[in-house]
Amino acid sequence: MMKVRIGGWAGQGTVRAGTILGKALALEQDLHVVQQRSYSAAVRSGIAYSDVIVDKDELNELVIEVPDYLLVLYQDTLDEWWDIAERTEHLIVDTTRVTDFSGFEGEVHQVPAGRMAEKIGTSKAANVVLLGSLAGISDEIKLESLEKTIRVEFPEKYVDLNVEALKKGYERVKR
Amino acid sequence: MMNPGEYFIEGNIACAEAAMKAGVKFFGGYPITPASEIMNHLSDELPKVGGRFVQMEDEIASIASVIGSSWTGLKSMTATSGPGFSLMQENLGYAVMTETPCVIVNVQRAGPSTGQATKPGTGDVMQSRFGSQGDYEIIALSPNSAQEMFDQTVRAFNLAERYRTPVVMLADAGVGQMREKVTIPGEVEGEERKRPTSDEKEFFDTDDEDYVPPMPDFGDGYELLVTGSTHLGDGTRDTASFSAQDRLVRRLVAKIEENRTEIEDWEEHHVEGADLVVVSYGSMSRPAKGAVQKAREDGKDVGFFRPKTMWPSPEKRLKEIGKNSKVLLVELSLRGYRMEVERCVGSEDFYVHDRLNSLPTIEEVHQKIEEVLR
Amino acid sequence: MINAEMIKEKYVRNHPSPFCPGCGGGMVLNAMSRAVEKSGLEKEDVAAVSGIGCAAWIPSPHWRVDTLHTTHGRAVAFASGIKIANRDLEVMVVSGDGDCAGIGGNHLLHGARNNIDLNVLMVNNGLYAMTGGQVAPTTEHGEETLTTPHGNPSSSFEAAEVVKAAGASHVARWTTYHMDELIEEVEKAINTEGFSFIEVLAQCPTRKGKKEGMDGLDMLEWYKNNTSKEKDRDKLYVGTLADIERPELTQEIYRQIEGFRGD
Repeated sequence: MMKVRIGGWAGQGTVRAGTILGKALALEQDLHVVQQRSYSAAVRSGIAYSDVIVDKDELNELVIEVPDYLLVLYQDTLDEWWDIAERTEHLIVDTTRVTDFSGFEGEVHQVPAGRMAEKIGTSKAANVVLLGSLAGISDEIKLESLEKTIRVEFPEKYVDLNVEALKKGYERVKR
Repeated sequence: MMNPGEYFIEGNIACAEAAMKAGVKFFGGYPITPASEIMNHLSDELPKVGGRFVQMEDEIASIASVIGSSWTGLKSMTATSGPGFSLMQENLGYAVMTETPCVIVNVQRAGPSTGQATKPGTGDVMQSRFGSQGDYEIIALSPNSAQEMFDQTVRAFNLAERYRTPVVMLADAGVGQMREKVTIPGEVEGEERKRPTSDEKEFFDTDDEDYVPPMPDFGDGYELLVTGSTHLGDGTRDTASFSAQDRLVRRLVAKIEENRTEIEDWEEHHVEGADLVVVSYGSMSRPAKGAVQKAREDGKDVGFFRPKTMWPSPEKRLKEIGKNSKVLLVELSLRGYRMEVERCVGSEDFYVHDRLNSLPTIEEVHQKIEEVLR
Repeated sequence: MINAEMIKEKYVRNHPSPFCPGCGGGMVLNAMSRAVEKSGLEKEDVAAVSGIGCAAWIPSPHWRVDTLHTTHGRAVAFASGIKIANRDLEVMVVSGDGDCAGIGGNHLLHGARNNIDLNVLMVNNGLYAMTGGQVAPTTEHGEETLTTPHGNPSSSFEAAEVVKAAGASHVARWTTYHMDELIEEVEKAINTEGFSFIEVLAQCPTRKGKKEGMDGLDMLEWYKNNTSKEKDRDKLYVGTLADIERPELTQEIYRQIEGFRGD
């Protein structure tokens, strides 16, 4: 079983990233996947996150207490989840918006996803950059399945940009 | 409408797609969290398959429009959550009394009252059975995955048409809003309502063994009398006589009660002779099942039982289970199904793990199983 | 040939009348039947929807068409479902003033706003008759009823004006004294593509007449003397209040469906 949480501030595309990840694993890798989203009451402010749980067999664990992979795109979100972050195996942060993780004891995968995305064309693709990094770190998540999903999930004019964002994120952690 | 294939979609979307597959041609609804995705999706897709979509002024009007539509022969539905379901109760009873096929999806959220709109709960189980006034029986289904949101929506339409009755889909925010893989088939088995065959004039009484009278459409020239008042077989209102009330209400109850073996549906594993059987339903049944699996891996003799029809309840099977095993009810409410399960299995060796607001981990339920077995 | 015998034979079920002597309910039934006959509609293309109360019993079970006798106040909502589901049906709603403008007020407003092609007859007797004569939203200020024994502290509203303001295509007011005009108005409603609302002041000799010393005939006489087809400050206006063209909900819904069929 693998548990992934992608968190940030509402509007950062965390739910979208979770959907892409879930879809790639469910449809391209034929795994059992449950994805859930959570927003705060206000549409454009507050912590937003998406949980993806994956298993080879029938999936009945629907709750993530401590994720195996925690992807964070916003400082306030990390501050809120400090106790979870400390227990997670892999903390992956977008250093564009997450700068203070000084007390964190384990290894932190640092990806300047926002800046990398901006260079490609739009900072909005930071979520996809981080997905690429996730594929680079995890053995179970295949870059090709994410790419395939992105190609159908995004409108045509955004496909190339997002595929590039995905690959850049992947290469960043593979280097 | 989605082509046959595999999709990674939310339960609510699966429900909307299933409705179209089952042939729904009318949706009347009102926005409410966490059910709105169903109407949002149908507002876009239903007109493309020739269906009518209308957003009404409130939930009372929504179910009213659905019942009106059904009498013109269209498969009709609405979708809502707790507060809206409360508003629908009077007309739900009207649909029972007038034997109007329709599907009401209740994506349950945490109540009472406004409660927590985005959080799951299953506190409406008894309401779905007893919420409208008077004596009646109803069919209510409980899905526990996005795939079952699809499958059971199809079944809801079939049961509604087969038994000429409203059917409640008792989903919850958990299954409604979780994304999972859903397989959409090319075609689904579709049940059509019983129509008059010759010069029949009785559409509200029958000697048929299934207790279901034939149902013509408005516009067929039958000069129909449809009323929520007590009525005779031809529809004529009879607000006073013993015989009218006795014959009608007994048949309406018998229609569900006497057909319950055909309607009842459940999932069970390792129930026979188990030391403990965990009973659970809806999204809560997922961690409950996971906990049973975990206990079995530890060598414990624990079974799992999940009602897929909440009403009629799998009464007979529950009674058998109660006779032979301890029972642990795991539910996402304090009073959801408890009275019914306890009624069937008995109070002795009956345990409950209830929870509010959110689903538990498998481990949480597992600990409760250990505690009960100790 | 339209005559009483023929109308009765064709449109009225052989069912004992529940109405009190002198009640206006039967006159409304008569007017609707004649209007349908004059309009040339086939009976099987007419559906009648009603709620709860004396007025709801006018079509159900008496009118010989498809009838849906529904819950209190919700007739317009049920009727909307029928119309949207099958636009070929001519849908009539018969509803009392309490049913229509009281408990059902919100549905009435939105039916008018949607301008859905229904023909609503609000049979107004000024109180809740079936339950004993309680105050209604149409009861005058100061009037004594069963639940305003010290005079009505509340005020009435003009339902027809409200419906007009909400956007109905066709709004009119008549009384049971004005049978010819009423028949013509119902026929006009049938021919209107949009929400038609006809307020029909109808006498209730039992609950209202009795306390004022009037029988049914006296009440008709009162309608005659206190209404006017001209705008007259001292009298209640009877006639057409609105006759406008606006988009109609059912047609709009079907237009969208047909748009997809073209693809």
